[in-house]
Amino acid sequence: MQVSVTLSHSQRFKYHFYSMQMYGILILCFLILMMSVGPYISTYHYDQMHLAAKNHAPSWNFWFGTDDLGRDIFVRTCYGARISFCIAIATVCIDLFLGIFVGSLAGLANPKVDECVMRLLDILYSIPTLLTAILLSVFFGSGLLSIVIAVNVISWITMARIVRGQILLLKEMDFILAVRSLGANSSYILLKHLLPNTWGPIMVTLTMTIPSAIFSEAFLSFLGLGIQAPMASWGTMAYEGLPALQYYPWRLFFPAAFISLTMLSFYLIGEGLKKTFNSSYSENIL
Amino acid sequence: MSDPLLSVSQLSLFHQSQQQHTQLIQEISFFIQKQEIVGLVGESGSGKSLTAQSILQLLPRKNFKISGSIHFEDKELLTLSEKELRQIRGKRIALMSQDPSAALNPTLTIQTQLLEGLCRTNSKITKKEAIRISTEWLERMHVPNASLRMRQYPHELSGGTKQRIALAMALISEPALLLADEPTTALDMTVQAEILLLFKELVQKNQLSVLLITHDLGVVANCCDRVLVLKAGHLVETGTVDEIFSTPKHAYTQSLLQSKRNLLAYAN
Amino acid sequence: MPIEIHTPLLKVSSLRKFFRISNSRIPILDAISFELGLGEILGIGGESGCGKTTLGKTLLHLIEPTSGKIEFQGLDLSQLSPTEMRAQRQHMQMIFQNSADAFNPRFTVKDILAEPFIIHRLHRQVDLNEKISTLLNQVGLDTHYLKRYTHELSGGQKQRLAIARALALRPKLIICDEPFSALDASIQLQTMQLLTKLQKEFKLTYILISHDLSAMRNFTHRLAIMYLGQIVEIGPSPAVYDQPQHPYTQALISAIPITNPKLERLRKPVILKGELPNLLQKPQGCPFQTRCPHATDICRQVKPLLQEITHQHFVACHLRLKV
Repeated sequence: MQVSVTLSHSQRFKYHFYSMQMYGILILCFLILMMSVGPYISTYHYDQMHLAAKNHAPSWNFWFGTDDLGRDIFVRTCYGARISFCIAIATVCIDLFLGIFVGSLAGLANPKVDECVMRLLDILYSIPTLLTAILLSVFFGSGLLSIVIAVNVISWITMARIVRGQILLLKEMDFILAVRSLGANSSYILLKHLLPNTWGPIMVTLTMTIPSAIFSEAFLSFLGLGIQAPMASWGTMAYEGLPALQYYPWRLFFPAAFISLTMLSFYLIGEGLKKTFNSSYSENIL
Repeated sequence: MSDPLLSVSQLSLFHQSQQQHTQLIQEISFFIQKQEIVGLVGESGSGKSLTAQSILQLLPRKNFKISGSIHFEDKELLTLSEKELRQIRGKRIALMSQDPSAALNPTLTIQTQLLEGLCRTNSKITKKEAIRISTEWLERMHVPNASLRMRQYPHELSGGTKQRIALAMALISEPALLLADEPTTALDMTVQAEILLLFKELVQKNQLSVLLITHDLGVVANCCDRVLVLKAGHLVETGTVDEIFSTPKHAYTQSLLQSKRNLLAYAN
Repeated sequence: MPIEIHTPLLKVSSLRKFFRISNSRIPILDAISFELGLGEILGIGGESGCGKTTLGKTLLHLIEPTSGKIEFQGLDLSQLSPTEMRAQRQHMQMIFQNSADAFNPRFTVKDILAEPFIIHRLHRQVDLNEKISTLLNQVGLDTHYLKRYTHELSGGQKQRLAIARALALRPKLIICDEPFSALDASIQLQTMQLLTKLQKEFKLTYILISHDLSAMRNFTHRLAIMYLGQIVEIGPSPAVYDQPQHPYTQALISAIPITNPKLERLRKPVILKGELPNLLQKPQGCPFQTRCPHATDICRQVKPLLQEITHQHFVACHLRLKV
C-alpha cells in the first residue's frame, strides 16, 4: 500500500537545506566567489613578480604565499579557478549539445542505425586522451583550446550513452505509447516527453563529467601539455609546485586543495541530485 | 473446539514519520484454526497486507510499532527476539505474495532456491535427497515437467508456474500457517481456479491453515471456510463464509457484497 | 442495441504479426479477421500470451502488422502516409492498462488533458480551459484535480483521467486494454457505468480487452476468445457465455468464480492440463491440441477455421464443425 503526499513548500525547503547538495552548492559558491571577486580584493596581479619575495610562506601580505618567481599564489589560484570554470562551461556545452543529440538519435533510430552509431562511439572512446591532447597541441598549439577539445572528446560519449539508455527505457512505457496514439510525431515526443524525463540522469552525469574534465585539464597541465606560462591553472601550479614540495609545501598544497574541493563540491551536488531524482516528486510513506 | 493455531488479540499497527503518527490497524482480534482457510477481505488500502506483515513482523521497526498479542503454537510472537522470529518465519509461518517474481531470485535456478529453503530447516539432508523432495513438491503443485523446471531460471517460466513454485518454496519446510497475500490477483482465471483448488487440497492433506488475503469476493466464495472483513484498519465483521454471504450484518460487508452483485448484475 | 453490421466501422482481414527473435519468427497474431459495427462493444477475452494486447496496439497501428488489412471507416490504414495516419488517430483512441507508467510523471492533470489539442494544433482555435473542464465533468472528476500530479490520484481516478484523455478528440473508436484490472468492485462498477454513459452520449464504439470474463456478459455485445494469437470463438456475448462451444472457452467460463459459496462448492471448474506451448514450437494443426481434453487425430494435423455454428456464432474447432 502506498500513500503519496506532496510535501509543502516549507517541508521541501527544510528537506533541501540540510541535504548533501547544499554543502556542495555552498562550496561551489565559495569557489565562484573566489574566481570572480578574488583578483579584485587582492592588490596583486597574477603575473606580477616580486623578486625580493620569492618562496615566502603564507603571510598577511601574501595570503597563500609566493612561488619561485615571487608571484602571489592567492591571485594565481583565483585565476586558476577561472580556467577550471571555463573548462566546466565548455564541458557542459559540448556534453549537452553533442551528447544529447547523438544519444537521442541512437535511442530513437531503428536498431541497425543505433548499432552503427554505438560502435562508432566505441571506437572514438578508445582513443587515449593523452594522445589526443598531444596531437591537438601539435595542430592548435598548446593552449586552452586544445585542452578543452582534448578533455571533452571523451566526456560527451558518456553523456550520449546515458541519454540513449534512458530513451530506450522510456520509449516502451505506456505513456509514450499513449502520446503516439494521440497522433504525436517523434520530435514532439522527444522534446516534450523523453528529454524532460531524462534530465535527472543528464544532470547527475554532468556532475561526474565536469570534475573529471577539470581534473583531466589539471593532469595534462601537470604533464606540461597544457596552459603555458605565465597563465595560471591549478595544474600548472601543481606542476611547478611539486619539485619544491619538501621546502615550500604551500606551492603544491593550495592548487591541489582547490582541485579536490571543486571535485568534492560536484560530487556532493551529484549525490543530492541522485536522491532527488530517485524519489521523484513525492515522499512515499509506507 | 481445540486451541486455535493462531490467535490475534487487539493487534494495532502504528506508523511513525517526522510529520505524522498514524494508526493503520485498529485493535483487531481474530483466530485461525488448524486446517482451515480464512479469507481476509477489504478494499485497497484497508490494511490487509499490513496485517500479514505484522504477524511476521516484517515491517521496519524504526517506523512501525505493533501492539497487542499474537499467539501462535504457544508462543507469543511479539515478545520474541529477532533470532527466535527467524525460526518461525518461513518454517512455521510462510508468506506468499502477489507477485511471484518478488519471491524468486532471477539469477538462481529453481533448484538452488528450493534447496535453500529445504536445507535451512533440515541441515543434515543430502543434496540428492533434497532434490528428490523438491521435485516431489513441484509435482504436488501440478507443475508439469518438474525435473526440467528445476534447472530453469524464473524468467523462463510463466506467471502461473512461478506462483506454483513460490507456493512450493513457501510450503517446502512444511509450515503450519500460510499467509497468502493476493496470490491469484495477477494470474489468469484458469490458473487462479487451479491454485485455489491446490490450496483446498493442501489444507486437507498437509495439515495446513491458510490466511487468504484478497479483495475479490469470488475467490473467497470459492475456497474460504471463514471470512474476516477489514475496513480502514478495523475488523468490522467475521463469520463463516455462508453466514457472511447470505446474512451479512455490518453495513460495510453488505455494501461490499452489493457492489460485487451490482457489478455482476450490470455486466451480466 | 441495434448494430449496423453492413457498414462496419472497422474491418480486419487476415491480420498477422510476427516478432523476430534470434533467427526465428514467432507468430503473435495469426490470421485475425473480424468486423466491428458502429456503436458496437466487442469484448476480446483470453489469457496472458494470447496476443490480445498486441492486437489492440496493432489495430491502432502503434505496432506495424506484418501482413493483413485493417480498414477503418473504409480507409486501408497501411496505405496511409505517416502524416495521414497521425491525422486519422483522432478517430481511434486507446485506454491503456492502469499501470504506473500510463501517464508522464511530470505532467499535471491539466497538461495531460491539454495535450491532445496541442498535438493536433487545435489549442488556439478552441477555448482550451473550457474544453478541459468539460472533459473532467464528463468523467466525473472535479476541477480542483487540474493541478494535481498523477501519482496523487487513486486507481479509479487515474482510470477516469485515461478515459477523459481518450475522449478529448471525440474519437469514434476506443480500445480499452484491461480497463478494470486492479480496481475494486465498486470502482469497477463506476467505471463501467461511466463507459456506458459516454457510449450513449457520444455514439462510441468500444473494443474491450480483458482477461477477466466475469464482468463482460451484458456489457459487451459480442465476445471473441483468443488463444495463441488466433480467435477460437466469436459470437454474441450471451451465446458465448451460456453455450460456449470451444473447449477453451468452456474452461475459461467455468473458471469464473461465483459469488455464492453454496453454488461454488457444488461446481467443478474444468481444469486444463498442461501449459501454453512454447511459441517457438507452435504445434501444427489446432493450437489448443496440447491441452484439449477432446483432442483427436484431425486436431493434430489440420488447423480448424472459424465456422458459423448458429446465428453469428463462430467457432474454430473440429469437434463442432458440421460434418
